[in-house]
Amino acid sequence: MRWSEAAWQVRAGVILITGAARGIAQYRADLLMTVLAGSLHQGIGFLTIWVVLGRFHQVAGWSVTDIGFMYGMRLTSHGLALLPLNQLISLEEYVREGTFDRFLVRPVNPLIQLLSTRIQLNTIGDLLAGLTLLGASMPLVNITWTAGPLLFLTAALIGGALLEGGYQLGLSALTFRTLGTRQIRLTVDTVFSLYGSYPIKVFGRAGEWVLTTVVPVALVAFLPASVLLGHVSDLHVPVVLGYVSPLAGVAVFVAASAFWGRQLRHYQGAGT
Amino acid sequence: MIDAARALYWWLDARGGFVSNRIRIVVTYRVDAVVRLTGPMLQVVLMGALWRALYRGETTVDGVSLDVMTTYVSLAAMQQLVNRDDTIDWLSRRVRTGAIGTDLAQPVGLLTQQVCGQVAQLVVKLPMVVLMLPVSLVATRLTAPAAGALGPYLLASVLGWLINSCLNLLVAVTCFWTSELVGMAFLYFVISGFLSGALVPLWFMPGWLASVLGWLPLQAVIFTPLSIYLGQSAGAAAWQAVGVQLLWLAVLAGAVWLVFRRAVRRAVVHGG
Repeated sequence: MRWSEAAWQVRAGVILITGAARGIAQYRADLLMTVLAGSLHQGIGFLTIWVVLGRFHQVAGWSVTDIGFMYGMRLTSHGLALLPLNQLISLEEYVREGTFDRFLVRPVNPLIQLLSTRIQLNTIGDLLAGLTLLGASMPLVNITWTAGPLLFLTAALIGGALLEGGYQLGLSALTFRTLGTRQIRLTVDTVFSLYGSYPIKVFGRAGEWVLTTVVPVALVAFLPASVLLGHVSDLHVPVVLGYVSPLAGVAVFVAASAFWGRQLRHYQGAGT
Repeated sequence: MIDAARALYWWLDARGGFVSNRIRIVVTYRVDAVVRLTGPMLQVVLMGALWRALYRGETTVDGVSLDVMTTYVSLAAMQQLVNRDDTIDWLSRRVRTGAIGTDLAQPVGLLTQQVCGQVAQLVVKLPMVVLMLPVSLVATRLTAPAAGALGPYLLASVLGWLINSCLNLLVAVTCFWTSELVGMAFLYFVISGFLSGALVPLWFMPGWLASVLGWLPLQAVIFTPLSIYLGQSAGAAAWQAVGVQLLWLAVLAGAVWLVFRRAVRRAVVHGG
């Protein structure tokens, strides 16, 4: 794809998403309510571990502020990934009913069109909760925030978002063949949400490896946070993997995009 | 005499019809229902691992053994599953679509119809809980109920379910005034998960939080039956907790009855 072509695609995407944004701005009360519900849902997860650590002080050597920091990282990455990608949830409907046709006959990239049909607001809640938690815990953890750590944190947040987004995009692409991927996507989403915010040692040897390779949620926040916080002495993998973990997200997302492009060819329409 | 029998038969038949109707709706989506078990299962595995890590080889903390704690986690997930109920979604959808008009024309009252729906869900979900047992046994080592606790536990569970049903009905009925309850059912589920003690038992909460929750009805839904099962609340204390449940049930059932009577008069039927 030439650069001018890519720029044109992006501009078209921006125009479409602005339209969608104007659409939801009509329902302000609903907007506020959904954002609140999203934040609260994520907040309760942290509240649970916060209450427990009030009594137990630490888990696997991590204090409550350490966990809060990692939780904030994971949640921010999650919000960043889903804010543009959450429209994938309705892909199944488009493919089953054959309405995906309309994305194919227009000049704008089908994925961009799909993603700009509607904005789901609950992900803004996730992002806000993540940024709040991250912002609140950053001064409390034992890290001197010079340019180096700040840059690495930014890279880790983006890398984590790309990793989670890549997994969701890759799994969604299977919809063109199997017609139904909603449940597996929801399950992967649950694993990311539940297992991504705790020191991985908690889950034992087998758990550590599953969460590093099959569903590599450890690479989203746990490994980069370990490096930043200095929890590297008992890592189950070489420390260097912690430093390069943001790159894993880039690799996964690139692979997922290519996979999406290939699977798209298998779209058959509804045959009417 | 014959008239009375006939009236009783009619009374039962009408309600039985509603219950079996709703059961059929739930059973139609049985695959969905079973897949929905993956979330609670993943949660049980996570919480089991987390508590083991928190105990770090200690056998008891504050007089609570690790086995008691992991059993608590498993049972809480099952109780939560049984108590999750779609009344809020159901009723608000009926109001939004105008189907409430036909509901109000039925010979059986609107409140009774909702209660029938709740019974139907219980009938489907109770056997489903069995599917969670293998995961619970592997992840958390379930212990048997404390001596003499089985009877009071079952009684407290039934009362807990009834209290939860009343709370669901009270949240659901607000849709007659607001006509829009997007995300409310989800929000209620999230908040009740914490306030009912399903995520953290009250005995590990900070004192002030435990006493606040002690004054709220939600702890009677899950925490009360579980602390009886595990012998944390035994003898006179157990019966006192059951007494508190009865009080809440009386208050909430009265409120439900009053509010539904007012709501029906307020009903606005959309569409034709």
